[in-house]
Amino acid sequence: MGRILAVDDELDMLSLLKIMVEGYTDHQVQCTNNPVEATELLSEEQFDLVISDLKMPGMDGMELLQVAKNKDADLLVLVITAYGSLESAEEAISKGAFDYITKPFRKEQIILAIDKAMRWRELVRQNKELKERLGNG
Amino acid sequence: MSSTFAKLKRWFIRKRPEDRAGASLAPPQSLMERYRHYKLLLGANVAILNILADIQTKKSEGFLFDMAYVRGAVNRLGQEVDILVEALVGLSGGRYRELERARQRIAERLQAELAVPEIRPSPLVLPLEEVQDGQFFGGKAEKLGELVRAGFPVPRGFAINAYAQKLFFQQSGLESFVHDAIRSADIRNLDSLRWVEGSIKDRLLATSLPPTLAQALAVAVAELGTERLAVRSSALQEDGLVSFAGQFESFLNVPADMVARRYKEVIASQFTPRALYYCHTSGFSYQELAMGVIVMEMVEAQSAGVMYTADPRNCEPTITVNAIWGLGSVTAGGHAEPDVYRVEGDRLASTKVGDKAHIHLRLPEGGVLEKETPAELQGACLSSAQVLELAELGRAVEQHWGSPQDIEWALDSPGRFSLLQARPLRLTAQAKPSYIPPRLKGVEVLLEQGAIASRGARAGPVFILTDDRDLSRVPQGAVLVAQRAQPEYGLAIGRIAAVVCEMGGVASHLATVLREAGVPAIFGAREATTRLKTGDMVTVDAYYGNIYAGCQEELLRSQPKDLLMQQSRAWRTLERVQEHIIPLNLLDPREENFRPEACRTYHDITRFAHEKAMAELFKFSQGGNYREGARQFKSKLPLEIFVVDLGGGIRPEASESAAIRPEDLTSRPLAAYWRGVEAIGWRGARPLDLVSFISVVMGGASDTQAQDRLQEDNYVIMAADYMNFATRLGYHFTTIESFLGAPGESYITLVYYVGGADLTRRVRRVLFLAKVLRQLDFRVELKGDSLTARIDGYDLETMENRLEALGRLIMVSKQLDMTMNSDALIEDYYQRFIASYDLKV
Repeated sequence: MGRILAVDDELDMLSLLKIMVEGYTDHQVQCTNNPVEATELLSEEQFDLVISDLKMPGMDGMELLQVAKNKDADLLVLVITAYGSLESAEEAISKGAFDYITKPFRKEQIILAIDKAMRWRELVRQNKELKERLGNG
Repeated sequence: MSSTFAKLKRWFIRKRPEDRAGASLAPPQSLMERYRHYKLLLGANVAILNILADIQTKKSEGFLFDMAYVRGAVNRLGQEVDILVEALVGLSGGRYRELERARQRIAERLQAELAVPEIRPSPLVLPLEEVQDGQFFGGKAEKLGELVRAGFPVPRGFAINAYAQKLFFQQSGLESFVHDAIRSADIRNLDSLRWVEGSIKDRLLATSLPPTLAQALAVAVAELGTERLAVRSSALQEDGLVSFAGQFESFLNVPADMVARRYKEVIASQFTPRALYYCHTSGFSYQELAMGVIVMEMVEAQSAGVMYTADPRNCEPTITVNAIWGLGSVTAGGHAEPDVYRVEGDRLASTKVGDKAHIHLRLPEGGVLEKETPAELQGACLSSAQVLELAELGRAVEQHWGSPQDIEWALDSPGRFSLLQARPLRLTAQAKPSYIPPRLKGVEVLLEQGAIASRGARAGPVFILTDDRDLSRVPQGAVLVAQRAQPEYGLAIGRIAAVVCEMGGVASHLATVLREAGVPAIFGAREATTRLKTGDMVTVDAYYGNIYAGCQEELLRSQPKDLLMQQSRAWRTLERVQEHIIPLNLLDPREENFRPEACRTYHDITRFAHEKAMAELFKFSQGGNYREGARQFKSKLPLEIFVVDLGGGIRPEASESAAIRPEDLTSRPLAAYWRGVEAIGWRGARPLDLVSFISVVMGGASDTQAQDRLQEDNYVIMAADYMNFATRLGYHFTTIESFLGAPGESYITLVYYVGGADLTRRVRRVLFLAKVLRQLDFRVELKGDSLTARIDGYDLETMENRLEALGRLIMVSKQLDMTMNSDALIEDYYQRFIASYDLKV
């Protein structure tokens, strides 16, 4: 079971994400509509994955991505972008986002993307642990 | 004889087009205008059907969509329907203005469904039993009001309207203060938002309620006549901003003289940093940030808790009761592990006694005390009899609302249960859809790679529909198999298991109707009507587009519905708005309800407009005098034909020429038709030689319509994708109209009337024509010696082939009636024509 931080200024989408992800997976979703609050939550709490919209007032998803990566380079960020703005999604990937999905999306898409991210995170964790053991040995 | 002479004179002195040397080649403005309307209408028709398909796909294929999607779809539809209706009105010269009114009615209903209702002046305070939906008391208060009226045990109380908050803000100057505070916030700085939150709350709590509200509250509290009360929030929208923004204050054991203060605290609790961030970008509105408040008599609870009337994971009817000692408020904080009771049917299936370390008790001076649970409160809070009594109450509530409920309850010292809140149970998970393989193994595939017009899988015996008039004969549970996807097949919904069509778009009227009804359908299943046999059992797999022999149980297991998605505001809103958008009531143009007044949905309007548009353009193309802009069409045939090009019908090199040749044609329908005409060529007498001409005029003397027709020229109105060819070949008159656009739009119609020979022979000729046309997949209507035929729904290539065949048919039928002296010739001619698409008599 992992902890997910979902950030989107559209409240409907946010509550829907929470309902669907918590309904279909074992992960817990914390939501905020304010990306600035998200940066604060990131510094206070531990998350396995951030799901963030790219276009938000005040602070856009790209900036939030930078903050998240600065805080924890291993933290995975899944970017949600509107259909037809693939350039920004690609830019996000180049800046360290793990993956992106375009709106509107099917529930299977978001759930698969989350599964993929969580498995990757687990692999990275195991990898680190093994390296540490080898280093210590 | 004098009348014959008069007719002859009229014929010879009428103005001939070639007299107009140097006339403009520009087509008549009125015709251009109508055609422009027609094209606009077709474009809107396609756009609308695509949006309908998109809405249905979003719902049926597990998309996450939000309110922005719903509003966007409704807006785009509204714009397209506007264009469509305006185009039909323009095309018909104002005939269908009533359709504008239908559109207006539907648009208003849609706006009403989408609008967040403005908070209007309402009673400030009402007893719970008088609180009803739509009065701005909030969902929680409205449900409690209904429970009281239905006789359920609910503590006495009253509710404060959200309008009271608006009044409070407006009369005290808080409104402008809140506006200014929100505007001054720096949304990039959380501390700034928190500072604004604090300043709004401080100001709100320091502001007195308007006298009218203060008095109304005081009177309501006094009327309750109880010392201790509970004050709770009641949000206007369950999943609106308010409920998202966070937890609101709820106060238990409030002394009567503190109710006004607690009311203000509940109101103030909405102004969280999240809500302020939202308001900074979207603006402050009472619709989003105002709430109703409930004030209830405090229950002397010895235990309390929550109850689910179904299992939230799978909706099984198992009742779960959670219970703790005292006021029940500890559960939310999580400082006590509750007892869990499960009730199956009428028996207590399991009891798990929790470690209820803490308890909330009422303080004599007001408020709540949390302390360790005293030693005497050990074991289960409820006896099994009490659990069953509570479960029965829960079932009754569920039955009252018709869906599983999440209920807050309390048990007082005398042992009576009270209901404090009831809301629809939020389902947390569900069974995963079972896997459907793209191809079943070891099963005969009869057809594959069809397009999914409506998802699902069903089995049934095949019924091949060859004549649309047999639609009423389709048996119960059949798989309807037809060549084209005709909207009228919607009339068979309720009897049919699935639909398979050789042609038809997934955004067609029929596809929309079938998706709406949940009838699986595959379109584009080539050769379905020849490869499937009536009576054979088949399974239609409209997940992957296959049709299997026999009944394949593996596919028929029903897929669970996505109940989670259905809980969202966007889903529920879409459910409501689509009632005004998708159902198609105008299925059959021949029925009495096929008129503007009967249009109840955008789909109805679209169907009506599309159907009438073709008739209107036909009528207009027929009715006018289009010598202006006409060019001579020079062919090998001894026919005088004039063409009016509305755009794209002539290759650019010939565009300035007053006379064009067949090779100059770029009009797709006319080029195809003319290929057929030229393949047969002119046989027999030249038209209108004097003898036959006089005989025709004399023969038709009783028919003034025939006379008038004779005096018409052969005119073609055409465009790149359109033609209307009104022609006189020998002594029969035909009008062929065709539009070759997208598959859903393309059609050919033929109107064929009166020839020269005696009636019996003429009737034999139309019977021959009808037989051939039916073989060519036209729908044919006969009326005496005249005939109308229509074909649509096929791909472009097929339509061009049909036009060419029609060209041949029309040419061979010239003067054919003269030879038809026996009924046997109908079949004979038919066989000969079908064999070679030619007929020499």
